[in-house]
Amino acid sequence: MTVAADCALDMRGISKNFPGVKALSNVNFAVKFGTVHAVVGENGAGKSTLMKILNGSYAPTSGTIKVGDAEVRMRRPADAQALGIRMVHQEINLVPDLTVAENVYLGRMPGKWTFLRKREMVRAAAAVLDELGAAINPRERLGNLSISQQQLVEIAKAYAAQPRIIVLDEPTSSLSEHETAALFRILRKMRDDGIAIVYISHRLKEVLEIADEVTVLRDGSMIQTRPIKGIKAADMIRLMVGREVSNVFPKSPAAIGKSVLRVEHISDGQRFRDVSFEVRAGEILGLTGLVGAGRTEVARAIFGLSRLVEGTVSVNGREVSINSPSQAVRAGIAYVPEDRKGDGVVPGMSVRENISLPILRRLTRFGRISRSADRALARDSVKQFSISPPDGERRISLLSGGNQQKAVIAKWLAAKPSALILDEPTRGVDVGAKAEIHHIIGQLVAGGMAVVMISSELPEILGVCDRVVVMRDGYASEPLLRSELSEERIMALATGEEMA
Amino acid sequence: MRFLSLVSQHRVVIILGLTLVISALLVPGYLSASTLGLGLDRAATIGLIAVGLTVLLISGQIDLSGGAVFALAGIVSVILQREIGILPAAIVGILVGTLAGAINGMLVVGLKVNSLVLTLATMLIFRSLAHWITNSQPVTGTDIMLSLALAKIYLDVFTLRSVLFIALIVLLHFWLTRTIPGRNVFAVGSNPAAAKESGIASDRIVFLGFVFAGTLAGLAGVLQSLVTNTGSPVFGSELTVAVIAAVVVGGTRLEGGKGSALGTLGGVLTIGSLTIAMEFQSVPAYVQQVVSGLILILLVVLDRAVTTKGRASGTRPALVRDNPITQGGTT
Repeated sequence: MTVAADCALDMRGISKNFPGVKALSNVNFAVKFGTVHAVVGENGAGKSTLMKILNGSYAPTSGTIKVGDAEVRMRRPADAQALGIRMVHQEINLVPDLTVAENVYLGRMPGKWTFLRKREMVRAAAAVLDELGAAINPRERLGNLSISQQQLVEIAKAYAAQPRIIVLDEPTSSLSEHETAALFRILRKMRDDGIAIVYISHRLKEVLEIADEVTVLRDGSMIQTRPIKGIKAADMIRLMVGREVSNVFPKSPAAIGKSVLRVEHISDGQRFRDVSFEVRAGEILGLTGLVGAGRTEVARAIFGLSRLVEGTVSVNGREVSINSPSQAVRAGIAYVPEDRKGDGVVPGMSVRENISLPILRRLTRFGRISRSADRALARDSVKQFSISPPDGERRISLLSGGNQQKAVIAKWLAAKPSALILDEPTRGVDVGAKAEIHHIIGQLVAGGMAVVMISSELPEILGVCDRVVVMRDGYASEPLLRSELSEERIMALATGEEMA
Repeated sequence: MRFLSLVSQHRVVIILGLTLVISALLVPGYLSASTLGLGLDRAATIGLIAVGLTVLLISGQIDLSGGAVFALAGIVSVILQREIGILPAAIVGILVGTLAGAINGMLVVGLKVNSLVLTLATMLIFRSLAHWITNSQPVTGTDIMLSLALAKIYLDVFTLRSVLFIALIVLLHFWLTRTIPGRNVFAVGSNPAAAKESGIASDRIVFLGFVFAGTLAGLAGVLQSLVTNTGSPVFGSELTVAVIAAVVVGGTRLEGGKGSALGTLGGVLTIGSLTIAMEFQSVPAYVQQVVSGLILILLVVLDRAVTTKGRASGTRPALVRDNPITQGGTT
């Protein structure tokens, strides 16, 4: 722990109103130099609004902000940066067409006059990346990097600016274990250098590991700030949701029926080999594994998004040949992809339009879409999945992540599949929405559907699934029964190291 | 896939080479210095405007009014010759282009409107102004000899215009690759939000981009009027399309963030040599446009083939995000 206790940031009585919405009310938030201060809260609790105020993107409706000893007013991000405040966004906010080095020094490239000192810049960027333990070529075009590498560049960019206050918003959501460990090392180093670090995360385990203090926000209000010592994950969850969450992962018992989806010895020739499993009606099969183990690739291949070179897929006992998603839908398979924004929703359309998208033909009579059927479907889905706000005409991009995810699931259920593949259905959604999504999945299998759930979260896998297949390097394990499941067992299979 | 991406990377060179080879086979005497000089001079008019448009497209904007500004600037420079003399008139003509660019830039930045629609509107306005000023009649200048001097060919190949164009391409290349504002133009076009967050003055860059593009369209128009000793309200009416075609053939992305001066040089030369070859063969103008259109389609398809394949086999974000250990372990 550090000794420095000077106040780096003191936000007092911060409120922010948007037309019709009170995003923050009277929030107090103070961070000391040389500490890591975590901010937790459900989606929509006001974390990002608070950070956007700190970042100069929004002006608060009322309240005061002190940085160091001086009261400040920030009108734009540049003002915050001039005060030594740097923000690392959850969403990559870099320029794909520039090089890594140019991104690290974006907006403040070194030069004389107008001329760029490229060599100097590349060398400096290489030094920063090296310090972060990131093996990234500073001359590489940023867009060619993987998401996790881009995330590291984002962090390098903030770090290179030698900030006094650094804000990290879900920085580990795209990092591997190794990279997360490296990030934590560098965060501790920055903390010991006296930098004030604001750390926003859904991952309470990480918060417990890295933070010195934690502030809980709920519904736009500050609930509590306290030292991390003596607090447990369960305490934080209770403060975040404002109620006891007795069982975060409710498991609903369902009668297991006959085999619905069966894959045998499938390979795509590259990413996975000889994968076999089956899912039965009323069953949730978990599919988990380490980085690049090939889980998503298996799902995409089954759904016809990529090709199989070997093996067979059967639905309800009949072998099917699937070369495109539309064939998969006809065979009775639905797939909810991981990348909600990219693949799952049409952001410009309403919730209703999104839901009816895959089955418009069924709603069409003589070439005309039946308005009433369309509306009824949306109404039912909104109700069944308790999509909030309960308004089918709202643009889907205005919904929170969890509610968008519910709408995406609703959309595929409208096609009445017999097997549903969910790829990381709860990534990036808050605790409450997570429980609701689990509840929905439980209802679906109770209704006789077969579900394959891909997830990286072991507590989720352990809590929800009837059987689990663990993938490693493109190969799949034998399914583990519920009674055989433990985190240690899964990790042993995922890493290939037997536990002592 | 590798082959395709190689083709895509060097596509300007390949297309230009193919154009020259095919033209040389079909058109007798095509590869002579005088033909090349003619082609280069023809290309320079497109090229001057294309230099400005390259910067604008990289910054994520577009300017459709270039052809109209070209005409208007030329007319002003000819009409004013009697009043204030040839050189001052030429300068005023170029400044008309600058002013038109400033108007475009101010409206796009100030009103935060789509530049495609806005410059479509200003294109109509500038074009109509040109007709209004001249009563839709061509105007002639005072000194015929000047136009002969300007059309003079040096070293068998170069004219004043083509030298100016090539010099500007070299400067543009240097500016885009070696200067801070040059790199910032890419940032603004590739990810405006990130550029803004990083403190880059995006609005100023976009505004200056329009001013630059307008000035160059004005310069090209004034030169055209001096060389022909004529200002005409119909000058440059099909230029905009040719310029956009040249810049896009050169590999500059319409959505912004990607492009190069050398690519634009290649694109301009391709369009220029294609035009000359077809004119030599007396191919009617409308067929020429068909050919240009087909080439553009081919390029767009090639681009798409390369990018979609690249995405399918490249590293998918999903692969690197999975990590049960950090997320699932107990403390």
